[in-house]
Amino acid sequence: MASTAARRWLEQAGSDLRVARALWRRPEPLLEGDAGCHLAALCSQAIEKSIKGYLVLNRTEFAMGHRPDRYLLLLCQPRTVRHAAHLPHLSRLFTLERRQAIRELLELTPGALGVRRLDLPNTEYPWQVQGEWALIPAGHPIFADPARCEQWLKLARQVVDGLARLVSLSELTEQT
Amino acid sequence: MTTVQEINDRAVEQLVAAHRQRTTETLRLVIRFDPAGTGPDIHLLEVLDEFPGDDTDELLHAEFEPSANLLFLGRLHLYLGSPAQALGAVVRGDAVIAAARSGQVVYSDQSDLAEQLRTAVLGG
Repeated sequence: MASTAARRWLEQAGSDLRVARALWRRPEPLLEGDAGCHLAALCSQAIEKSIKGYLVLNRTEFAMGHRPDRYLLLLCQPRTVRHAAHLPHLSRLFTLERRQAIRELLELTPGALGVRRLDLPNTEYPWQVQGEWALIPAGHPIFADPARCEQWLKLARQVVDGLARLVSLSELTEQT
Repeated sequence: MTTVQEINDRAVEQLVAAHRQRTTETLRLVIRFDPAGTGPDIHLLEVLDEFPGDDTDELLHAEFEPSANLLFLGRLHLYLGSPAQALGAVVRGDAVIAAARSGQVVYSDQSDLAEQLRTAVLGG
């Protein structure tokens, strides 16, 4: 059943989110500055997998890239959402503000804005300044801001939980 | 002649029987209630162990039309949540709880938790 398959994606998303939360507590031997970029990557992955899980439930074919935010508008339109009962929840979950926040986080995934862009901050690799490998994610101000990290964790939780609830709802209604 | 009540009662029985089969997010309590002015619609508050979401999340409300698998008249309204989410709704005084106060238990797993939830929602 589609809900069983979707559940697998949401389970992995939940695991990614739990690891992100664990990193936020900065266990040994993490140094100050280590956690933020990996937390961002894991939150991004949790959101990506949740959206893809819902797309599985919705029986929507999707590309295996890292920009599932491109499908979000489809999930707020009656004609492209399979389960009509989910529409109000999807609309409340994926407000314009939240879609924007998801996009900004996903754009920090390496290659998100084009594989040739070596000059962009990202969660995993050094990036170039004036053609030289100059900056790294670990410790960079983009990832070191505690308020921003809290926002990413909150955003990921909202998306993972919100879509997990709809998958659960589908499982319940598929049983009858 | 089968009445609307009978058709909808049968649908509730089928739904609860199916949901009781779950081995994850197991069913603890189901309360059926009837807010004024909703005609033949069916309203069910279902409490399920480990229903996703934060403890502070509101109950998830979803509406359904009849289908080939479940025949009823009107619309089906499900209000779903974990025990913590249900208790949170009681503490906040959410509208669904006020409506459910005059409802009836259609299923309980007879646990202490189910009894606690029943008392919290229905009062006394």
